[in-house]
Amino acid sequence: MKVAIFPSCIVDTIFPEAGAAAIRLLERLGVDVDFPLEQTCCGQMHLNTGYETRARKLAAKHLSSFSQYDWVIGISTSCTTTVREFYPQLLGATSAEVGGSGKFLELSEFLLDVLGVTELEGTFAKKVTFHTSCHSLRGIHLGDRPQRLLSMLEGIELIPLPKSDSCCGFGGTFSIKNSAISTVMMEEKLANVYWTGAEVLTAADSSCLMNLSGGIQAAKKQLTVMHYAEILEIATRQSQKKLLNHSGGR
Amino acid sequence: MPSSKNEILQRIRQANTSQVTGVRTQSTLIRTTPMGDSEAKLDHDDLVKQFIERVEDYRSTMVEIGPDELASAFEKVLLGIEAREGFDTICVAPPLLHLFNKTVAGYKVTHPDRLTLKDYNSKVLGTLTGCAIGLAASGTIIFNSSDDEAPGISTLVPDHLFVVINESQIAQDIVGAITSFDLGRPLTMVSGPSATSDIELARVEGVHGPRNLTVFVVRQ
Amino acid sequence: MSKTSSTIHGPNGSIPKANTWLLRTEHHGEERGRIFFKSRSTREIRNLQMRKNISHATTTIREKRKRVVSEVPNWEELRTRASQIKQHTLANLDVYLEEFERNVTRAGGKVHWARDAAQAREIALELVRESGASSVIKVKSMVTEEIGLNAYLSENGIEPTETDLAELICQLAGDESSHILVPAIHRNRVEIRDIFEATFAQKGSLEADPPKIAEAARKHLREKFLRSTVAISGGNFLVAETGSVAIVESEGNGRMCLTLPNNVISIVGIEKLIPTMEDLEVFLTLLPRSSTGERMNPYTTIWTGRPPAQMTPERETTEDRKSYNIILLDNGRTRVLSDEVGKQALACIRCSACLNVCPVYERVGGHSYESVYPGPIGAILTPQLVGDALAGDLAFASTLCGACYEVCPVKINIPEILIHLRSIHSDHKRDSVSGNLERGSFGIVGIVMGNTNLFNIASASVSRILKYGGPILNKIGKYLPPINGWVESRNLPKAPNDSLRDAYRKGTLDALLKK
Repeated sequence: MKVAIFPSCIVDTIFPEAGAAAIRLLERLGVDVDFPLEQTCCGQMHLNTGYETRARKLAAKHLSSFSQYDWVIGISTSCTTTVREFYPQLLGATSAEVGGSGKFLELSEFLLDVLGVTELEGTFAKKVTFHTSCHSLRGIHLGDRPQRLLSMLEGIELIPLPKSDSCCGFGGTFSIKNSAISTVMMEEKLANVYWTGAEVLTAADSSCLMNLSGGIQAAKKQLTVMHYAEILEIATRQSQKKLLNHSGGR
Repeated sequence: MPSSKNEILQRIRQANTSQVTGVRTQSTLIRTTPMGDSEAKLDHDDLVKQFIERVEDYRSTMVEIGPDELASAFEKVLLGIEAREGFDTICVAPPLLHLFNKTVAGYKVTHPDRLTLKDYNSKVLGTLTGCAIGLAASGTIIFNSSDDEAPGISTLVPDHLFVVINESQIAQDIVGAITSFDLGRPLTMVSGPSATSDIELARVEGVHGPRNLTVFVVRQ
Repeated sequence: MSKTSSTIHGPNGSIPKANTWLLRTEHHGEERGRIFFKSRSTREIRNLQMRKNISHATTTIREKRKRVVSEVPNWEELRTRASQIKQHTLANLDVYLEEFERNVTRAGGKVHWARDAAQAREIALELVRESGASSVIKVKSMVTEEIGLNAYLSENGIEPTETDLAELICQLAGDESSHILVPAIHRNRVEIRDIFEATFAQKGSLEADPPKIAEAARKHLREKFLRSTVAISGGNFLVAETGSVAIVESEGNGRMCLTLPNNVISIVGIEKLIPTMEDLEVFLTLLPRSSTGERMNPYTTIWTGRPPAQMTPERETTEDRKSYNIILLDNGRTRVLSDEVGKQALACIRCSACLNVCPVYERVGGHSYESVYPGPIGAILTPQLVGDALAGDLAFASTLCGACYEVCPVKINIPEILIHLRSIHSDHKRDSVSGNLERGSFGIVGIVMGNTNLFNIASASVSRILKYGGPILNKIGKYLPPINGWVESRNLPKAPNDSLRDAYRKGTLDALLKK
């Protein structure tokens, strides 16, 4: 089983800690994970902003970067959505199929559905609230997989976020093109986050987190923002024995 | 200049023909029933119960009665309704007229043919009528302008609408319900009293049609 | 995705001016200006009362919808079926339209065909004049708004009265509608009470209480219902196999309009056709639950051709209803049909579920979309009906969050069409400076991202820019377009010590991990 990580260009350049955490976590599971350096960007930004021709080129390049792998693990739900849900239309169903857009999984899908993880040994004694990104919910239909993984940790208190499924207002270039609306959406999302009293805000998408942490810092609030892969990695870091039990194979 | 009809049809044909292959768009239909086969069919009692609950959900009044109890139950309901000055008449569908002796609860019982539009607006408190069928899943009553029913105008203009339905007339849901009717006559589906949600999406009954709906369910 | 992007202005000619009647831009008159979603919404979003009204209403309706949808075990299957019925009908629209016409004619009605808004208005006016009436009552109809019917009738001496409560509120206030289902949603009870008191009700006579307000409207309109001889309606569904028309409504004003006057005129878009009554059963299951969150709407009226007039001594009892006329409207729909991706929008049954779940609509309200068709459906329908040039930045009025697609009862993939329309827009904006600047930047970024070596260099420099420039940009960025909107309310991300790829190459991943 050859496994590659697809951290997304945003994680690669701005939030590398989330990518590093995912790689270490997978390694602790006994998964030999590569980071193919030819990968750049999946083309989402170009596609969503109306530059389809350019997006098509990026998409073709993206698929070819992973041609030798059985599974490609994403930690950005919007990027995995682009590959899995939009490539077939962008590239034509057959060529996306040949390129294997179906082998692109989100981390929690890989851990739960492919590896069959049922328990995680680790502690994270903090109050955590989870923002359900639009693409995790409606793009690749992750359901509550990330929360299921988090709730395997000792000591964690997962506080439900009111209106968790409503958009944080980022929307890629939407946050620039329609910044007034984006700001209101972000502020209302953050008001709900503050209301939970959580110490940590997490999500399965670093672009939502970039938007929200930008707002939290500007508002000078004390709240840690991290990708859920980081929580899993931190919690399982101290254990000496075999950390993770899984049944393997789906 | 082509007629607008031909022009529109021509544009449709052009739009539905591939510019690459010159072939018309193909399409096939699958069939599945509206409420699905996955929903277990309710037994008769549960069906009637669901119908009653769901009509009630629209803030309607439901009265269960035995086969010969309509006249007395209707009288009782009328006595419970606040009188409105000048409204001294009840319109009764012709097949139900024989149940009453000129008056009921002090109101004049009148044949629809003897009432004018103006009467319905200024004298008729409400109309008692039969119906074609009821749908349990949505709490709907269907009128088909048949002889069992008072005319549409009489079920629309007055404040109160009283409907009599036999439990055997209750169907599970809309599947097959409207396909079975003679469409030469207008079909009206009524679910609860007239309502609006136009002000802050708060539901208010009785904007233009009847403000109150009372349904008598006749059990055998 | 834009395999057919060229065809939107393609085989069926350019967008006729007559189509601009559906625009609600701030430049009115014959030459209606283009839509500026960004500037309009930036202004509207400051209207806190409007936002509160809409947020309250949409939150309520979302919950109701969710509840009644969960009662239908095969909801997803039904959505698929509805989508297929619509696609099938659209693929054979010419055949079904002719079948519908035959059946209406057989039942004593008359079918008229209108290629555009102007022609539909002229036919309607002619029909009203033939009846000898000087006023008409109207059932709520999106399509009559689309063609600007009310203004046209008024200019020609015919007084139209809207009988739906919300439409009446808008008509009296001189407001434009802001929602498909509840057009006065931007107003609360106090504002509505004030509108009524400023028009037909006596000052100080009304309480700001929905039942009292509704009662006032009932009295005000009752006389008009009794007097009018002509009603104008839209139509929710046209059934080809029988020639029947279905109108789905709540208040009973529709039934009043369709039952009382002896002349009824319906104006309906050609995409409202469905093949059979059996298909209608599918849509009557989907529409009310998606729309008002009810299992069924209070009133649905289905009639065929010229039904008998209501027999009362006051009316001519021996005579049938004098006339039933239906005007089938194209007005750009055949052009939408020729767009492989965009034609999905013609499946819309105007339920407004997409408005009610849209996080953007919730904040900016319907007026920001500057069109008769607001919200997500408006953002895909308006640009196709009026053309990209007039639609401005409307296709960008979305975060592509997908909530609309998830609730759409006919499965219109709204995000997909938005992306498609954005692509058409980007192709068309070569003539503006900012458009070229954006296009240029995306071109350069695209080249960099498409080349691993260039990307390696760029990702390292992003880190450096954030490290040395971040603190300064957080301060002065609010004066620097295009990042000003971002920086006004957010800090830029902190610079990482290394990019993931560099750390991976150097074997220093652990140094990146949080402590």
